[in-house]
Amino acid sequence: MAAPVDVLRHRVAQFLDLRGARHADVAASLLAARGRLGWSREEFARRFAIEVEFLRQAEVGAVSEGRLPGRLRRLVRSP
Amino acid sequence: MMVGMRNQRSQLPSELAPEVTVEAIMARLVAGDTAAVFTLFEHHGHRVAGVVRRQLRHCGLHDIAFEDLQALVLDACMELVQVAEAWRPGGALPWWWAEGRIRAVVNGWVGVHADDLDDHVETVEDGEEFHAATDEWEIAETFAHLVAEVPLVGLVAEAARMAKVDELILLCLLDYQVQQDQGDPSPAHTLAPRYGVSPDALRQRVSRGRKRLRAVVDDDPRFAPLADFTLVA
Repeated sequence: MAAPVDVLRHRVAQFLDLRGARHADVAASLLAARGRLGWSREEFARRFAIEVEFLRQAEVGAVSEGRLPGRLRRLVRSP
Repeated sequence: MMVGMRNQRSQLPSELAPEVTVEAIMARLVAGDTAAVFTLFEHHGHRVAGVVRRQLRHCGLHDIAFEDLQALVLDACMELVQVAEAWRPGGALPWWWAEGRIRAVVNGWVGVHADDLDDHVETVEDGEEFHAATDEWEIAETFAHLVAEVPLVGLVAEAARMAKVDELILLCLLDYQVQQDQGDPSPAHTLAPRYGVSPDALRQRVSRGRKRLRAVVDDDPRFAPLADFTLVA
C-alpha cells in the first residue's frame, strides 16, 4: 500500500506530466521533499547548495535526475 | 522521512514553526508554490481529516478504511489549493471555511447515501424514539457514554446539574470546546448556524454556562478535580 504522501506525489507528477514536464517524477519528488520540510525554495536551495533558479527549473520538470547533485539525487530516490 | 497523517502530533496552529503555519502555507499556495500542498497535508492533514470524518458521519458513515480516508483528505487538500486565493487569515481555518467544498468531495465519494430501510424497521415497530444524526446528537451520545464510564465526566454532568446548566447549554459548551481544541479561531461563527442563534448570542450562552459551572466548582469541594478544566475556565 502506497504511503499517502506517495499518492500525492504521484498525483502532482501526473499533473506536471499533463503540463508537458519532461521529468515530472523528479519534479514531484523535489516538491514533496521541500513541502514536507516546509522550506521555501530559497531555504531549500541554500541548504542543498544549489541555485534557486536551478531548483525552480527542476521543480517544473525541466531537469533530469542525472543532472541533480548527489545529495538531491539521493533525496529524490529515497522512498 | 515518511511520517504520514496517522502519526501527526496534535499541535495547536499557534505552536507550529513559522514556515508551516496555516497562514504561511496558504500564502505559498496563492503564490503558486506547489510544494505547499505537501506541507499542508503533512502538517495539517489530520485537521482536514477531522472535517472529512465529520462529513462522512453526516452521510451515516462512521468507519471507513484508512486508505479511503487518506484519499479523501488528499482530495480535500487539493480543493483547498483551488480556493486558497479567496481565503483570508484571521477568520475560520481554511478547512472549516471551505467545509462546503470538502462536503462536496465527500458526497462525491459516498454517492447517493441511504441507510438500509430494514435497519430501521425494527426501531419503528418497537416504538423507539428516532433521532436524526446531528453533530449535537453525536456529542450528546458520546458524552452520555462517558458519563457512565468515566468518573470525571460524570462529575462534569453532576456539576452541570447543580449549576442548572441544561443539556442544550452543556452540549453547546462541549461543542465550543471541541472547536477550540481543533484550532477554530472563531467557534461562535462556526457553531451559531448549528444552534440557530447569532454568534454573539452563542458566545454569551457559552460565557454564562461557564460562569455558572465555575461558581459551582469553586463552591463545592466535590468538584475540585474539575477546577483546572478549560470547560469551566
